[in-house]
Amino acid sequence: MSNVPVAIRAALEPQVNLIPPEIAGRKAQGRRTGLIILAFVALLGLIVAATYIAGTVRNSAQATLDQSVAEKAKIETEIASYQYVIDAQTELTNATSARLFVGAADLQWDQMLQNIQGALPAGTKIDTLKWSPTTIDSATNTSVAAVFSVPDVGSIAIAGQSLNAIDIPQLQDSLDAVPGLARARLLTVVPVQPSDGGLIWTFTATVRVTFDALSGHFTDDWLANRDLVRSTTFFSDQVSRAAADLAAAQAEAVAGVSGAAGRVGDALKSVGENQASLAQAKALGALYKADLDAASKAQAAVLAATGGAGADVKAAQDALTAAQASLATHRDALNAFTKVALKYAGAVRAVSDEQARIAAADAKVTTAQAAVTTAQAAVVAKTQGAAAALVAAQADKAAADAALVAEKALLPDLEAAVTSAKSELVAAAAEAAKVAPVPTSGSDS
Amino acid sequence: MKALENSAAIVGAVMVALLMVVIGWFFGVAPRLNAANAASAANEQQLSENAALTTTLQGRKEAAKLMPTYQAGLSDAHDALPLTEGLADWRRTLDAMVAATGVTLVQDGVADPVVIANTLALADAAAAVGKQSYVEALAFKGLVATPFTIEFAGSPGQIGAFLTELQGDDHRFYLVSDLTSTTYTSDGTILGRPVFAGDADVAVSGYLFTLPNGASAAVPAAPAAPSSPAPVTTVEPTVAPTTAAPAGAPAG
Repeated sequence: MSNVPVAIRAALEPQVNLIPPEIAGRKAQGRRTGLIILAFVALLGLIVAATYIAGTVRNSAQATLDQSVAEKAKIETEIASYQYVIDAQTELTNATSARLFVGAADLQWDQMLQNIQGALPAGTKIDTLKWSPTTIDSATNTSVAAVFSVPDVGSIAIAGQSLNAIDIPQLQDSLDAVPGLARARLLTVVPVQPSDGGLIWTFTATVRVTFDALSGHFTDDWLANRDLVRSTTFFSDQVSRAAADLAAAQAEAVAGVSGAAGRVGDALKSVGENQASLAQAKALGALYKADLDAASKAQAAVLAATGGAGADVKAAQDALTAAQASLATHRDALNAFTKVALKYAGAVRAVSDEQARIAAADAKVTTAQAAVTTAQAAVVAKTQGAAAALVAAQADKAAADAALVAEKALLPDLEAAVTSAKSELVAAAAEAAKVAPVPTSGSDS
Repeated sequence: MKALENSAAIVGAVMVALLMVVIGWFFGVAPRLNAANAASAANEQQLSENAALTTTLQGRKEAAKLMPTYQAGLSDAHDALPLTEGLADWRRTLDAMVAATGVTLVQDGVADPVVIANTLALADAAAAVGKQSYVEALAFKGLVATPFTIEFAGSPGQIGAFLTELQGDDHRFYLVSDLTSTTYTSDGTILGRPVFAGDADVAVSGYLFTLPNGASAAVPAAPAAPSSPAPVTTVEPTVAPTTAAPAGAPAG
């Protein structure tokens, strides 16, 4: 704070710079140098920070990349685990293609022969027929330029004979009309007279086989048709089997009805016979009843005749009845007793079991008691030993006490002896004093 | 002079600062940012690949649900093309067909198996009748064909029945690739069995096929169809229709 009075209105700060310019310049230079150094440090810090951030970004990107690469390896491993599917697909594709290929050159010969035979006029028969196809064998699958350049899959050569004159255009048209055949050419027609007379016409012909003649074996349409035929056959078989079962069941039912009818007839016959037997039995019963009545009457007559004897018999019967009742009673009692006895036996067995358990428990108790006794004996023995030791100790103590008392008893004598000795000492001192000269100055000792 | 020195110092400091910034940028920040950008770009690429792989995985999971269908289809295909050549089974089937149809088996035989490739070209033949061939697009591996020949005799009905049995689908697939039929013109016998005028002797050649297991291991996932099918064979008969009568056949 300035000491200049306010009234003077002097400037608050010094208005005159007394620092020499050189010094001021050096100070300014120092400040600039410091600022520059500070700026360099800050710049260096910025560069380091930027480098660090860039490194972090790089590391993060690299980590993400590593994760993606690891994920790729995982996916590839999983894909590899499905290789069997690819193998199966490849195998299936190969097998399907091979099967289509082998079926591509197939021609169903039964149908073709029938068609060719059907195309020939009546009375004509084939002597020889030869099929020269395009084959799957590469060695024979050579291309030869055809005259008319109409592609096909082979040819059939036919040689035959006819009993009638051959209508050549008609035969060619007929052969061309066969599905899968085209461009029939009748090469030779020669009338021949056999040795047995008459006249026949021999011929040779060729006909081209077109793509339509091939069966398309193993194509989708063929497979579908095959499956249809198979399923139709299967269900047809099922139907046939069911029909056979039904017929068998019907036959069995008919046989059953027939058998049942026979059994009904037998039963009816049996009923008739039984009815006859019943009537006969009734008649016999009537006779029996008559006999019984007669017997009853006779018995009544006998009873009446026997009189008292009958009463005795009745009494005996009553006694018997009573005895039987008594027997029943006793039997019931016996049964009851038996039940009780069984219960008792069960109870006895339970008691026996319980006794056995008690005995076992007793044995355990005895064993425990013995153990206790042994322990007690041991305790007693130890106690007795301790008591003996106590007694001995007490005896020792008594002896010690006695010795003490004895010693105490000796004490007066000793004290007396001491006193006596003191007295003798005093006496001896007095005697001595008498003998010795007495000093001139007084003395009380 | 002093001011000039100060200005030079300031300029120098600024230059040093700029140099520090440049060095810090090019040696500190920029490499890291570049690495981060590269990692981000690679991650984007990886995420894209992962998405594609996930789609693939999903597709395989869906396909795995269809395994029973694949297996059934494979089993059905192997009914026609067994895993093994099975010549004993072939012989048993042949005997059964002969017994069932009543033909007389004159002779039969098999030749060495050969591996078959797709050399069929039917596109033009199909186009000639307004149809489309599926053969050229077929790609397969490991198909083995065993050539066979059968010569048999019988009535037309018996022959038809035998051919129907032979070419039926109750057994493995037999391809009849050549057929020659010669009709007996008078009664006689063959192998001790009677034949009658109108009966025929039929010689067929063909193939039975085998597709061993794992044959498709080298098959590409999506076989490409040939862009231009080979020209189709349009062969006039290469064998003259003059077939010799079978041994034992009566002279015509």
